[in-house]
Amino acid sequence: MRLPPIGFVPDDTWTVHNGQAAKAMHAQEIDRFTTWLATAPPPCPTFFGLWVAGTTFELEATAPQFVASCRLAFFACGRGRLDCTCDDDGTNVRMQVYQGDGSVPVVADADWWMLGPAKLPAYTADQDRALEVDEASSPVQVRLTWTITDFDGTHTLEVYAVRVVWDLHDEAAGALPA
Amino acid sequence: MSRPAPSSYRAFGAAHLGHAVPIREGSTAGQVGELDLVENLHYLHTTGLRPPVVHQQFSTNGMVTAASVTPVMKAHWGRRPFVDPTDWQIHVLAAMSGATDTGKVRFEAASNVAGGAGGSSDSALGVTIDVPAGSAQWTLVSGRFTCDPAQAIDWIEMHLFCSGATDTVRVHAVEIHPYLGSVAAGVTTAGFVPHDTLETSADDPLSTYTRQRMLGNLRTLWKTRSGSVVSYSDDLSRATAEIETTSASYQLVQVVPYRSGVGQVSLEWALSGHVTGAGTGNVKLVTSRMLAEGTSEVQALQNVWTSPYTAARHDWDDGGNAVLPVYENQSGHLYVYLQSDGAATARLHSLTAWWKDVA
Repeated sequence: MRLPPIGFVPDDTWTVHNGQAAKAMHAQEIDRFTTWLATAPPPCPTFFGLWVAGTTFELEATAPQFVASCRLAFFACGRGRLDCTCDDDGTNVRMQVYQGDGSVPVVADADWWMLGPAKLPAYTADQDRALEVDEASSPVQVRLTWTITDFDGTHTLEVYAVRVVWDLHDEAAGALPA
Repeated sequence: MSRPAPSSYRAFGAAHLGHAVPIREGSTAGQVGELDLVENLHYLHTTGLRPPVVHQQFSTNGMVTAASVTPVMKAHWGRRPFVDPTDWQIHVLAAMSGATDTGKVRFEAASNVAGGAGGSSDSALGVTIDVPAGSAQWTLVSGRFTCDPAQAIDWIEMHLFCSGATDTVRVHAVEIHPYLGSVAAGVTTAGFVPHDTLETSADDPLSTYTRQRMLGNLRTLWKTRSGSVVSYSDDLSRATAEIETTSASYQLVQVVPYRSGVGQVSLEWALSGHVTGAGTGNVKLVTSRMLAEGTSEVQALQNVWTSPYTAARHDWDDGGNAVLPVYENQSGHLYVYLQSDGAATARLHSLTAWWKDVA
């Protein structure tokens, strides 16, 4: 299919019977199932840690086929900002975090903060948006980075877990790329 | 005769497969047919469905390090191997502190019992990836080693060492996913039946069996290539842990979001941890469904924390443990709690959870 089959639900019950119109329903069902698998890639697992200001952190990630952008999500507490980049995207993105009062960040007060949805070009620096990935019909290696900046000397930001969320092909952009 | 394994997916319009359209062999420019369906199927089998099992960036000082010529186990992740993929593909972001020594990052499967220093071995189930002397941060290095799909659970271990004692090897991030390089002949363990290019031709009859087999293969891929929810390992050789508590009541230490798919109703898991001294402590895992139903999975921690950490490893398949039930096709959270006895320190060193294969 040229577009992801929205609403497709796989099951065990569909059966091919002799005499059915083999070239229509059967083949299209297989194509729909195949495209659904290709455009519903499994997620990246979450990983834990304790990240604070002062270092640029990097991550190598294999974006599945038809991923058009990615959003970093942070389980964070405190006050500050997160600046993120992707080597497929020429412009950085920025997310302000305000979780608790920021004076004493603790994991019990943390919550998930995720970059905003993709925006149409042209980008400007420091937007809260998804990072662009060069969409392709095969997996793509990307390098992601993020840095933490505390709000000020008394209001700091801590990150306790991170995950990468792949955003699939945007139908507004047309058919899946060849 | 061949079993193609293309490196990309070919998306085409449904009109090529519409009613009254002649059966075509396909896989040529401007013509779509049966071989395109086969190639896309094989692409998913080999390349398109390789969910990462480890996806981690080490946080403490941004790296784990080693400066010794003796291998030291620095991280481990428990995981049930996939049934059909033959290897683990590994990407590492690493660096060297100087230009004298070569860094060594060794990954191996704990199920292979051939032992070496620090639990490391030169067994077949492992690979040593070189980090060239003078590598800047962060340099991408890669490797691959054979996995053992017969294992219900296996621990992927990461050992670090150097060719000399002058420089320090630094590892910043790791990504591991399953690998299958080609479509082998014969039915796979999971039940995938490869297609051959000789099976379909233009204007030849198309058997019902061929269609059934395509559907069966798609169901096999859907059911056996599920991804992971969490993959975490601390620096195992640190004196303390990133996640620890001395509280006698359960402390919420992590919240992991997930989205289950069609047919996904439970998570398998593995963790390692320990309690200092002779104290007692537990890890408690609760999914959103378990929270609603008032259940939990509690794993008591041991007092031993010595490489290769065998006594500190626990999983869903241990006696008394179980998988974590979730609601099908729903969003939810995995809540991780840690508890001590109020005096000793309970430490969680690693945690992984992944979708159990669809029944």
